[in-house]
Amino acid sequence: MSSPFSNPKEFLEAEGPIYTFGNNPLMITFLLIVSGILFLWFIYASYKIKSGKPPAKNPVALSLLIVASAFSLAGGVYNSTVDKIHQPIKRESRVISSKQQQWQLPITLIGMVASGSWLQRHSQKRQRKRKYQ
Amino acid sequence: MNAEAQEFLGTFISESYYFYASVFMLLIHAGFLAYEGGASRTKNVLATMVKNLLTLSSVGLAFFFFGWWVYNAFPLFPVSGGILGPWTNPATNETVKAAMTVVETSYPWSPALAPNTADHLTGVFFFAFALFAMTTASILSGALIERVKIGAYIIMSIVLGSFTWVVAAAWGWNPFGWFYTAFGYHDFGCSAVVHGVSGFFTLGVLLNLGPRIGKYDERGNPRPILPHNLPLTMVGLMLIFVGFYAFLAACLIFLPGYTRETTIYGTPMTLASIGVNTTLALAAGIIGAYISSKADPFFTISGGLAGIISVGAGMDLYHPTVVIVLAFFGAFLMPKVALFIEKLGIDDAVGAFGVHGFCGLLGSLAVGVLATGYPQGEGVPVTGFIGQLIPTLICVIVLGFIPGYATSWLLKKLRLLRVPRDEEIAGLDIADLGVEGYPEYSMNWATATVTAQNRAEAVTGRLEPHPGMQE
Repeated sequence: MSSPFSNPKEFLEAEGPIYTFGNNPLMITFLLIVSGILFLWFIYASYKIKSGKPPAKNPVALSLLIVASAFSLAGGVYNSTVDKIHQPIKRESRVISSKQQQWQLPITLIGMVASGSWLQRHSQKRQRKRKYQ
Repeated sequence: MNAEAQEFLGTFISESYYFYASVFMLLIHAGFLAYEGGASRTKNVLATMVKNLLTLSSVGLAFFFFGWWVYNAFPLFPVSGGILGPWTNPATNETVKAAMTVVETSYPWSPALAPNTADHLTGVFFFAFALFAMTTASILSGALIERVKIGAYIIMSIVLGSFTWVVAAAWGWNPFGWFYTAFGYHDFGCSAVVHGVSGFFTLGVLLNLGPRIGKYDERGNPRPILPHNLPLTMVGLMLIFVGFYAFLAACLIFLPGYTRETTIYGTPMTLASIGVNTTLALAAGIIGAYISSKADPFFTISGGLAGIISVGAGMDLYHPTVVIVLAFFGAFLMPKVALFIEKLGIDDAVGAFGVHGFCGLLGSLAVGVLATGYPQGEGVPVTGFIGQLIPTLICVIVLGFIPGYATSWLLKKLRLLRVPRDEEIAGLDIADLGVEGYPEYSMNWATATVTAQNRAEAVTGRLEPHPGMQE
């Protein structure tokens, strides 16, 4: 019995606590702990639930990718500088090749961005479909 | 202050308390209006809101004509007496004599409902109950949007709002009611009496009404029909929350001469505990639905309501920790129930069954588990599971599902339930009202064409000379 009262007179004329488990502090303590756990679950869930977006990429993998890209870029800059210093004769042909790279780069970037956004939209659509099925 | 003035002050406090609580309860309707309007598509927004608005008229007047009398006349029927009315002899026994004093004030021709300096309270209780009745019918309104005929909704709102739930209240939310006297039933915040009845009534109607066109694909898999204005829906629910505080406050009884606040069953309670428990139920309900639905905005905010309804029946007795756990549990399950119903092929546009039907049932049964053994009066059984189970099943099946199914079945057979297919496709704003909710934006070419034609006809009508009109 969760009522702390044994007869109507006691309950109807009660002066003081009338709540459930009023005579069972252990139960109240247990429910308080459960309530606290639910609250912590809520805080944890607020970080984990992202129903509208694909799950975040692994930060370690992203960091490695950025570092690898930075190394690659630095290597490219270094090689081109070294080339410029050590092979002045071939400048003309290099200029031509560099001009070719200049117009190729934006196209490549546009392609990457377009394919990335298409992939993201596709993934969101799939997620939304799954959600409403 | 002399004794007479002090006595009148007590009357005035009671009168004012229920008057303003009822005024705040009107926010529930403002909320339902916004909630349903936001949940509909642009082509149905005005028709949806007007349909909800008409609840105030259909239920308000029907409650005056017979609903208020039903509440006072049915508490003893059929277990401990008959239906009370002008034919009843008050001298039959002490219970009938006491009950007849209120029955006589509930006829539409009763002087107690008219301006009368000898009675300050009957009218204000009528006001509060009429608002309860409108709330109950409004729950039905949202689930049927975008395909029900307005006339059909009006008839069903009268059956639900002015009869079936009122019978449930007479039996289970009345000191003379046989749910209370025979079973020790306890439903302080009307979990089963209001929400269970209306949620299951809605389920019965939805079975006959059928889903909206396009809701299910060829294989019967549900497709999302998204709300056109989710922010409006969310604001609507916030208004409903405010109104619910008033609704629950109006469930408290404080009459002139009282030395303490009581429930309708005469048991002690405090208004302060309603403030604490409603707030915690709201908070815990929102997080239950947030986690369960994975942050779906519609379910998350509906979770607040689900939480309050899940604890409503025992809110006057529960310790706050019980409220948190129970509200969380009810609201956590609510989205699952709503999606399960959807998978069964039942198109409940606003999840009314999940929020009101399921949580109302859960809330009422929970008293039989979490608030057992309360001795509510001499000769009245203590609160317990069987004492909650039987009346709750009577509420949801006998007074909810069956009348909802039967009324809608009859309307369906008479072809009065659902709008024609072409009207549903064009949108009910144009079909029912002849105007669009958002005239500045052409939502689709078909609607725009019809609107342009309507406007042209209206302008031509205005420009044509009328007989007797002087230039």
